[in-house]
Amino acid sequence: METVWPRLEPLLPEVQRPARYIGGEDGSRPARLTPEKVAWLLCYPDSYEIGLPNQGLQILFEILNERPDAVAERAYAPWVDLEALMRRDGMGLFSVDNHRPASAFDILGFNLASELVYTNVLNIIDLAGAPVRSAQRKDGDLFVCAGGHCAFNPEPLADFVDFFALGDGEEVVGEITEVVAEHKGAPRQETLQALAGVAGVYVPSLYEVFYEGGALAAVRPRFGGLPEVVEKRTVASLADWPYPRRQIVPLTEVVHDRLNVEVFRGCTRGCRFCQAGMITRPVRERPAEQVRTMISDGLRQTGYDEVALTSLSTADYSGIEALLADVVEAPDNPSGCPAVSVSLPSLRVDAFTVGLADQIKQARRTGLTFAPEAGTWRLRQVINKLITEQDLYSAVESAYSQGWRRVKLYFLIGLPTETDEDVLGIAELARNCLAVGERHVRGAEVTVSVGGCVPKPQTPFQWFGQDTVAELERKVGLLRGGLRGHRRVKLKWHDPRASLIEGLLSRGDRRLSSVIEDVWRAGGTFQEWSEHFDESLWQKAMARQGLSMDWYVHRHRTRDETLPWAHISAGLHEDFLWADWEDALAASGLEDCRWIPCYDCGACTGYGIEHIVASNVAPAGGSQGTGQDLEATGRSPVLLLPRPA
Amino acid sequence: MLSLRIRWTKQGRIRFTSHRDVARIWERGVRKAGLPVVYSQGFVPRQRLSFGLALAVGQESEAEYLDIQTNLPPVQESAIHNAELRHRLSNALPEGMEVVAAAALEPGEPSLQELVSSCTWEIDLGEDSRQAWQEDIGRLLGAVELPIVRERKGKRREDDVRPAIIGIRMADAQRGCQRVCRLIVELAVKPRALRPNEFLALTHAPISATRLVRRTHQWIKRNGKKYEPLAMVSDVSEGFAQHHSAVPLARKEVCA
Repeated sequence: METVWPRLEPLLPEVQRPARYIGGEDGSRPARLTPEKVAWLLCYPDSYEIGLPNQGLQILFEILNERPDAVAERAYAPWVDLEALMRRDGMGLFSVDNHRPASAFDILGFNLASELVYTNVLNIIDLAGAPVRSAQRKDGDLFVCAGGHCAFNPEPLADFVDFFALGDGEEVVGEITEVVAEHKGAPRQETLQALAGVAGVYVPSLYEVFYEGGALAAVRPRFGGLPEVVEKRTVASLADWPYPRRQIVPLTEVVHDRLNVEVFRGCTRGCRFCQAGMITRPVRERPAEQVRTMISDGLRQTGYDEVALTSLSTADYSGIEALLADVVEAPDNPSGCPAVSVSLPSLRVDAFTVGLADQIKQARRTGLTFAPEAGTWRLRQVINKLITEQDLYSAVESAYSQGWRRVKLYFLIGLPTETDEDVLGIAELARNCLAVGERHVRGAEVTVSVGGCVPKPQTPFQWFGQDTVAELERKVGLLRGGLRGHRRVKLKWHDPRASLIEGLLSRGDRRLSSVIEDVWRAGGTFQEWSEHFDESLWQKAMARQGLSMDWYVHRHRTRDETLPWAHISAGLHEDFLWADWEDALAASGLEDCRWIPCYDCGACTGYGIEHIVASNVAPAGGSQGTGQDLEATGRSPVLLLPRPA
Repeated sequence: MLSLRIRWTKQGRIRFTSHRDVARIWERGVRKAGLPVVYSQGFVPRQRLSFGLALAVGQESEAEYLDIQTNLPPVQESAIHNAELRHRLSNALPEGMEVVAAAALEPGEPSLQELVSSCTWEIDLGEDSRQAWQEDIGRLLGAVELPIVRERKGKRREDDVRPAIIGIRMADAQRGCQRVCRLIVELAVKPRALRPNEFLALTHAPISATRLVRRTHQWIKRNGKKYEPLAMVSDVSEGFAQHHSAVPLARKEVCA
């Protein structure tokens, strides 16, 4: 077996945290590589600590290795110290599973979870020994593919990636494997043409971009037979995909180091800034029984004593209290560990109740973060986060009264129609939350964390001009003023310059490929790490390419403008998004469609699928925040499991 | 309540994990093996595991130790089969970590940290010149004192480490299919441990990060005699080893 281990091993004593390169994790058992199989190298384009827990890649890793015609191994971005030694020694990218060189694989597949990793993508393609631009790749070179949330505007990476896979990957990876297997030895161009025929696959080199003046005019297929608009893939039911069956347990510390069980995918709360909520519709809850099985099997196999129930808004899982009670009270747990700790990332204020607080506390107290997102009711209607001030105070009260000493509140600044009054509203909410806390615990604390709003493609805010760095800094200043003298409220904020570059890449077009390449060639990797982020590299590259930051980031778009991702669809109708944007400007909320008849955003109707909820018990907070009047135990007007045939 | 002392090895790729990583691997391993471990009371309950001396990242060991407090009944009543226990724990650990011995601890047995007074290390020298190493050995063993400057809690101070060098010798060894020259040194861990890298800094060829360093023994002094906290035993078939005894190690050398 071809392995770079003998060359890698002598380098490891010289680098930081060498354990991230040794592989051998529990749960990582790739299938045997034989010549007729399609070999995938699945890559998270960031460090091992960030990349390993990624559930999307772990799911695909297992599904591919279960197939008779495929094998998958994993790679991560080597940290800068190892990269320097690898380049010195002429060593390329390798898989951590068997330390095979990238050249042993057919497909290098990236998960794109953040725009700031784009320069790492180029660096990794280069380390893998392939030309960074797809046009320069030849027969026998790797195919570079990418999926994940950022693929919903693929254009900034269009010149580097051979094909994108849009939406849920569970089914499409198999179809891609079959096409690549059939075309082994065929000319590259033929394989790409065939891949473009797979639903959900976008091959950018087969689409031509037209400009008019400085603006984008159209993106059109070069040949007949290609779809004008490439639609995402959606798995109809998570019940058919109980993955990962064997979560990979790292030997060294990583983020989210715990058992992760996805309880549902999709979200219909309709927060207008939230790209994840828009592009992953509809809601598909996993059956409660399957969740219980995945938790008990997972804990037994991994040895973890903590489980996170993951989704975009876990307190919305129907029947969440009953599920939590089962996890907390009956851990299938021969070792005598006192309790399994449960964490619920993405808690909604309106669904967090005393009952939930009590359940979580029984195990072990984990951090609690609530995300009201905006400081005033008016602005929360603009962004469609319909929680009232009272919702927030009751949630916070639940937490403090159950013994939590600190809660974290997350807000966005730079939202559409935002005034200084809205910004100062954040300080007021924080002060009031602290007052609630002080009634219950000594030394109560509130941490306020603010990030700049980055308008995302495929959301109603895709037409909105992002705040400038100076404006975001001014608003942070306002907030600091509003919190002066309140030592028990801690304020943290995200670097506005990083938001600027995220904004540039989020809504960029194909011309940005030269900018990304420039920044990469100037050494700008690991840009999502504050110690490596360098705004000046981006400003210089924009200037060199004659492109305007203001035009890409801060300009409001009009409805008649062709957006760079107009030929990519997450199922949402353009007229739904525009109407929702107009509602936003009118500060008018839109109800959660799980509990009312469909208003045809397109995500269900377009693909002939429906919401799936696991029980007819509405979420913990009842219908609070949906703008509706449903009882917490009311029957929900949606499809219940098991699904009719 | 029954406390167990475990002797385990750390060899191959797993040597690049840190002491902290290893602690987490053990916590998960103990749960996976279903050992009824005692948990601390309090805000964040933790397993009552007590590790011996830390091993630096990149070093191998044939002699790592761990004490585990369990809820098992006293040893006379415990129906735990020693070989089965070793097997069960080894299976719950990653490749390269293997439990080679386990024994019940007598009540009141001091902790590993208190007991161990020195360690034996093997340092593979590769192609280095024999002559220069022989000279180093003579010079170091013949020295009256060997002052080095170390930092502790931000303060620099000079320590004489000559007393910490208990023995040095050279041996021929086989590493994989290569013949290598190997240094075998015994270094004290009290009052303050002399680390293999600090020792190497005293020689003609100070530090080479790529040199393989392996701990082969930890030693306890009792009544003028040297014992291991737990001997490496290869064929205990049942019952618990109750006595410490130093058994020479048979090392597997596999040549491809």
